[in-house]
Amino acid sequence: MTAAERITITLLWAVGALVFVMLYGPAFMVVVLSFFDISRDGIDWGSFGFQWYARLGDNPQMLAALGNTLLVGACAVVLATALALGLAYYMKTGIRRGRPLLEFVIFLPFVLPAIITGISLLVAFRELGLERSLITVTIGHVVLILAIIYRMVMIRLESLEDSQIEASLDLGANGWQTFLHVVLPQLRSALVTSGLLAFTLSFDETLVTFFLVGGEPTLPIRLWAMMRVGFTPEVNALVSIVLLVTITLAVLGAMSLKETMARR
Amino acid sequence: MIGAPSTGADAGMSFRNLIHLAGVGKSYGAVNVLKPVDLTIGDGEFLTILGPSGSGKTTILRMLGGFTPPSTGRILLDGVDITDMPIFERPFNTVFQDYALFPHMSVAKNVGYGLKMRRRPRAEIDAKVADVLAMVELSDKAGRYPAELSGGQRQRVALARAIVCEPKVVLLDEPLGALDAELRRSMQDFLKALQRRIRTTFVFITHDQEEAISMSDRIVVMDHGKVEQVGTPKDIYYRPQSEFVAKFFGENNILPARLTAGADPAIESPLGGHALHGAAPAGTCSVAIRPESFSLGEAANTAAGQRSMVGRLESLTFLGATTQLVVRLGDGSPHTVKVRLPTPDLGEGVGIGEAVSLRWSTADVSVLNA
Repeated sequence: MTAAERITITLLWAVGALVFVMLYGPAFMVVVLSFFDISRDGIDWGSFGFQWYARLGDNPQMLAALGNTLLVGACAVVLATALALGLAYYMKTGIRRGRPLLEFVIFLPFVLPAIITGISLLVAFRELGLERSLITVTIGHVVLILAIIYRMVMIRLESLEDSQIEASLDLGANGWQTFLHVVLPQLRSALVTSGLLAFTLSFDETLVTFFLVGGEPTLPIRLWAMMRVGFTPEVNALVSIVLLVTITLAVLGAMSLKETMARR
Repeated sequence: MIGAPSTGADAGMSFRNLIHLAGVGKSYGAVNVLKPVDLTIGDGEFLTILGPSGSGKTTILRMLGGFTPPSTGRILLDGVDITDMPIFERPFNTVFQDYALFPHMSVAKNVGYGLKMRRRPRAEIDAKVADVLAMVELSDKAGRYPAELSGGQRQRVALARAIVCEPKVVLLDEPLGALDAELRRSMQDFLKALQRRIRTTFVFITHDQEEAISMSDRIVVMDHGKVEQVGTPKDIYYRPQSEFVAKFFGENNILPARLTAGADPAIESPLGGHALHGAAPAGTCSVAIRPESFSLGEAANTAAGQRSMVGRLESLTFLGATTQLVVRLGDGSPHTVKVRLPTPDLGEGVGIGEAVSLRWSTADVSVLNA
């Protein structure tokens, strides 16, 4: 290995490390800080412990915000999955007319700047006389995550041979039985994967939520509001828990995705 | 159509008519993929629809199964119009080309699916599934999943699934296409034996001539969206009605012919004149005779209904049990025929360029429509 090559490799390694630090350094910092007391003089290294985790319960507003986030995420995923499933199955077996247009309409909110989607929804809800609440937030999230769930369900559905459906009908099952016994079971892993990914998206969605949220904030909105008054240390504990849950979901999602792709 | 059962329309088959395709055709826009077909299918018959790809054979099967609605004509089952009956109400079951086994169900669940959808009691489903799995020799694989089976085993699961509901007709869409030659051979025997055992009508699609000839009660030969001929394997082989059919199965001699005018129209060909039976072909035509329909023999010994002719041997190829001769039909004639004889019949043999006396039965000469 020449000196030049050695330098190049060292440089590349350094760049890689830098990217890694930039991506995960802050998160790592938060996790570390969640275990220590912080005073004006800096970190009190002698105070290692789970005290902030224990004190999470002292902050009911934040817990309520977490609860709202989980509720919105769960409802949005269930609603969007039902919609995406119906749409995709229609596209697969129905007359397919207008498919490009419909798909464009579904994907549009996903690619539009979130701020535009947010403002549009806000204006629309106001015209409809719908008060801002967790319901409007949930609808907003459905609009955003519908595209990703639809896409993943559709990919799996397209790889499903027509003969599978024909065979089921041929054996005396009607359309609904065919969907229930033949199509749905084969979509299971695609539904789990897209549901997990969509839930993750919904969990930290801030921009659209910001326009639609009423008196009950979701976690990102709550955290954002807290920035003005200053964080209390239990925020670190909360963020660490969220991080852990998110990473777990992402890993599960990735594993499920791998399975979905392998079946194609 | 309702009334006393009639016998099969073709060649004295003794099957009761089960299905009648009356002028059934299919077009996609301006593209005509199947010209109107009239066909009867007998109860308990093994009917093969044979043709190259794009001949419309799969279209007929899909229309029978209800997967594709016909553009014209009606489909009758026991005299009842089923043209618009939904797939899941038809008493037919299909063996798909890709088998279409449900990957998330075990073999037993796949086979029992049809019975479950018909809400049969659990005990009945279990008993019938066990029965058909024994029939296809897969009793020990009931708990396996399709991905864990070999191609031949999957094929038999698909077959079991299609017969378990005791359909009136089993539709088979090139079910042996994906198997290797040896397995294919044994599956052919298996399929035929099974069909005899359960006495159910099989409509079998293939592009393999040998398969069609060896398995079928009758064959429907198709080409370019048109039925070329319907008949027993022997009919199709020895009495082709068109050049396509004559060439489709094995070797054949096809010679130009023309219609002689007169009170008794006859066919004049390099094999001499032949009385014409049935409809006269339009314009120019040709005749066909199989290489094995010839024998060697002097004109003096020719029996009634036989013809003979002296030709000249051009080549001789020993093929083992048989020997193939190419004989020029008379000196200076532009026409030759291939002759296939059992090798012992040649005795001491004939030399190239020597005269050979050929004999054949006029019944073995088929007149072909262009």
